[in-house]
Amino acid sequence: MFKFLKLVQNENMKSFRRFSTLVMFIMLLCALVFIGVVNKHYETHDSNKTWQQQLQAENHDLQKQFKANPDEHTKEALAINTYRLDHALKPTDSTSFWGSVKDAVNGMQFVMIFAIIIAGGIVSSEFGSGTIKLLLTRPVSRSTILLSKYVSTLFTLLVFGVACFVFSCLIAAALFGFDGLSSPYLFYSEGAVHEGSMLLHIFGLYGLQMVPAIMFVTVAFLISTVFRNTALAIGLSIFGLMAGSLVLQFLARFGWSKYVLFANLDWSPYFNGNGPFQKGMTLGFSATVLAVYYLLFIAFTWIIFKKRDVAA
Amino acid sequence: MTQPVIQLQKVKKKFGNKTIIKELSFDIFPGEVFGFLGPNGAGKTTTIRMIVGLMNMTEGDILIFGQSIKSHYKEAIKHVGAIVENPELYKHLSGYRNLIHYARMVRGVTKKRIDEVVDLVGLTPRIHEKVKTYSLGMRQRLGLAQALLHSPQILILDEPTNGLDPAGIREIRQYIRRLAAEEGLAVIVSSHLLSEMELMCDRIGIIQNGQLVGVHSVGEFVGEEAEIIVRLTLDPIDQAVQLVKRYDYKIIKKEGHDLFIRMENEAIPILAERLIQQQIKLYGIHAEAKSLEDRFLEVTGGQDIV
Repeated sequence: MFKFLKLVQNENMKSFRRFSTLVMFIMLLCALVFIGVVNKHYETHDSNKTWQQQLQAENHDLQKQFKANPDEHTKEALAINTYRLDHALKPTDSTSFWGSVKDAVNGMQFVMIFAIIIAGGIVSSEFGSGTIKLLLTRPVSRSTILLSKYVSTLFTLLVFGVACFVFSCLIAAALFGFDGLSSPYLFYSEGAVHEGSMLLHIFGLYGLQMVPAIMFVTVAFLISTVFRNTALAIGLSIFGLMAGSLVLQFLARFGWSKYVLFANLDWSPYFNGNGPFQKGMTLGFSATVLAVYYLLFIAFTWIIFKKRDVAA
Repeated sequence: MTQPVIQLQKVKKKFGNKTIIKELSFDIFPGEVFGFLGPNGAGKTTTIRMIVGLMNMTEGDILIFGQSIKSHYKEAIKHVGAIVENPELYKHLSGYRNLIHYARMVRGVTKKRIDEVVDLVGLTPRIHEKVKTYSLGMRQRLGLAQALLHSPQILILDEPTNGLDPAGIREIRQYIRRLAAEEGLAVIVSSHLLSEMELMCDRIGIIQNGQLVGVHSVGEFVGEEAEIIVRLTLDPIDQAVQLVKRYDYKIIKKEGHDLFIRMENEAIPILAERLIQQQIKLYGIHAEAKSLEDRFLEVTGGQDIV
């Protein structure tokens, strides 16, 4: 076990001591600063009204809407707004600390791309540079080497995710201060509004982003191992990341499309009350489908890597 | 003789239908430097890759200290330090971090050992610089350092002097000889620099078309024949040719004022005396020691030329 951690440490050293990795962190920081500054710029918008007046106006509209078309969503929004007014809880919009941090969850799109870039090169670059020969002629089995690379890839993803969160907190504090730090996360369940921890809510959002992130990273890792081609691994994975939802729209009319990988990556509908992609899909269903894909990817990657002759 | 450290047992390698290595068998013993010689495409690198487990063999087995590379890879490979082809290291890391990287992969390599090896290959002044700033020779040394890090008993070096300057080649050669002599390491070297092999190796195995054509000890291999070739620079040459023919010496060829003759070592002064007696001007006598290269070409493909 100790030795395995050293192998992961090796892989981390190789990834994090690359100049390109540093550039990725800087790009992530820049992107988050940009989001923050844009939000800050629109802060003054509509500021002649207090947030109470704004919410009352919003509720007025929502009530009209509810009368015309009574649905669960409108009811929830109304209940939460009313709760805010009753308990003097300012909404966490983009110009509050938590609102800004919540917006920055979108930074996970960058994190995914960066993690794919690292995953796509972690095996193939060793073949490309020929270093694989020195790496594999050690008293360590090939599966262990591959596992250390995979664990290191997931670790990198985690580090990028944590960086995204930490950067966004710092930026939010710098731009908006700690206003509303204690405000809770409000959610509607079983006919009543409840208060939850904002921090946990945001961690939950990150968690939801991690599901596709892990799948795409695993796909990039697979392609990198099987084809030993970094460009192909990164290109195909990012294409999947971008085109996934498009493909899904096209396939939505087929019943079997619920078994497609892309259809099961977004778990947010199971938590925010939006309907799932296809009727009958549940969290358990998506988790099972992804688990099957995941195990297939992993098994395929390992079998190929173990058998292969190294001619690099 | 002592127990062999590496045993190749009827090793066969096929790529599809093509047989690259045909039943290769040989043993390597501790303390010897074994040269692996063969024209390009003969299967040298494939064989080395199979020894270090980078390629699977189709049939046969390779034992390192009696352990099969197929079934007991980890136990077998821990005795081996290797450079397969060029020493490709992580260019974006410093030489020192490269060594730390490999040190972490085996048990028992201390910081002190790393410093020791760095010192040994003479990289101490620049070990903390990135490998991309190194010359080919320095990379070769760093490659050697990573191979020696875990104090292996077998060293496998593919083209170890590639890219080194003459001083560097000499240094590496002396170093390899010392490792074999003092520490009893078995060293397998492949090189296209045949003259280099001659100076470095104890035994040479010649491989051609995936088959071992012969294993010779360097002494017998080169000096097998009693007769040597002597180059004489003479004037007038035609008169000299007549005289040489009269005494039944074998003329190999004539080149300007140079005459190449195959004869026994003892016959050289006698011939010289005869030439001088006939008033033929003798400008030089040069014994052309038969080099490994000649023998090599002879063994592998010389027949085609004749």
